[in-house]
Amino acid sequence: MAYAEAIAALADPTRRSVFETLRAGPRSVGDLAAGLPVSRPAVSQHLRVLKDAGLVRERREGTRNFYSVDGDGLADLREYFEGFWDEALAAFKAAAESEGGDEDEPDDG
Amino acid sequence: MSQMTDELAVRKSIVVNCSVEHAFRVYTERMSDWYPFEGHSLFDDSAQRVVFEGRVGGRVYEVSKSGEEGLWGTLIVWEPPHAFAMTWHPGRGEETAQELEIRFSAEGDATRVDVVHTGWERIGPDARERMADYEQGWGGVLARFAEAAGKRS
Repeated sequence: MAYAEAIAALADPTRRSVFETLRAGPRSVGDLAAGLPVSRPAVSQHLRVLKDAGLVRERREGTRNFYSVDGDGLADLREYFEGFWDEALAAFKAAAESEGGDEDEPDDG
Repeated sequence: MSQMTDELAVRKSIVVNCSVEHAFRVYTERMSDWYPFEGHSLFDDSAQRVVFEGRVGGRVYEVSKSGEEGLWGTLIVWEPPHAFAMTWHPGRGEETAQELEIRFSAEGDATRVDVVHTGWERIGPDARERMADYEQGWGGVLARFAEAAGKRS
């Protein structure tokens, strides 16, 4: 499930920082490492996880790799939450209407 | 950036045939009767109920059949029967909190419920600052614990 991977990938605070930085625009590994208290190899590792989760994509320019936010990964995650709310609100509506506004519900366990 | 934030916020609305007061009560006091626990619970099939501690700063948590508690988040707005908002980080550290805002407004005899779900997709110095604060607090402790626990496995 792509959304589950995306949620898990973003649960790590450093990866979240990397991802949020990329939201502002494409960056190289060096750019990212310069703004974070972690080493370049660590940043590369985080980028790999984000990439596997479909949240970032990689593009080579000359000798450098640039990373940017992947719209498809975000779409998956968004779709997951959209689906969750559709399901939850439909269930909520059914419960609220079945009780019909009557405060004294029979409790028939 | 704010355009992107708007674009990424999940917004849902539904009209329910009951009063605003009833809708708010069913949502916050009887969530256990309708919430789709399956696939959306910390305890899965052993989940039993959801508790709202109805005040700003109150917790919202799940309780399993064996009595174990699982935190979902903390109430940051509590205006019964019109609205509530909460942080949302079930099973995760507080530093990854998303935000939920649920509003209940009268529409004739019915009630419109509006959900706005925002969170990790927010960007900006403010969000980053808050995250840095959390990292020095309990959230950071939990994150480090999770990281350490993960490394060992």
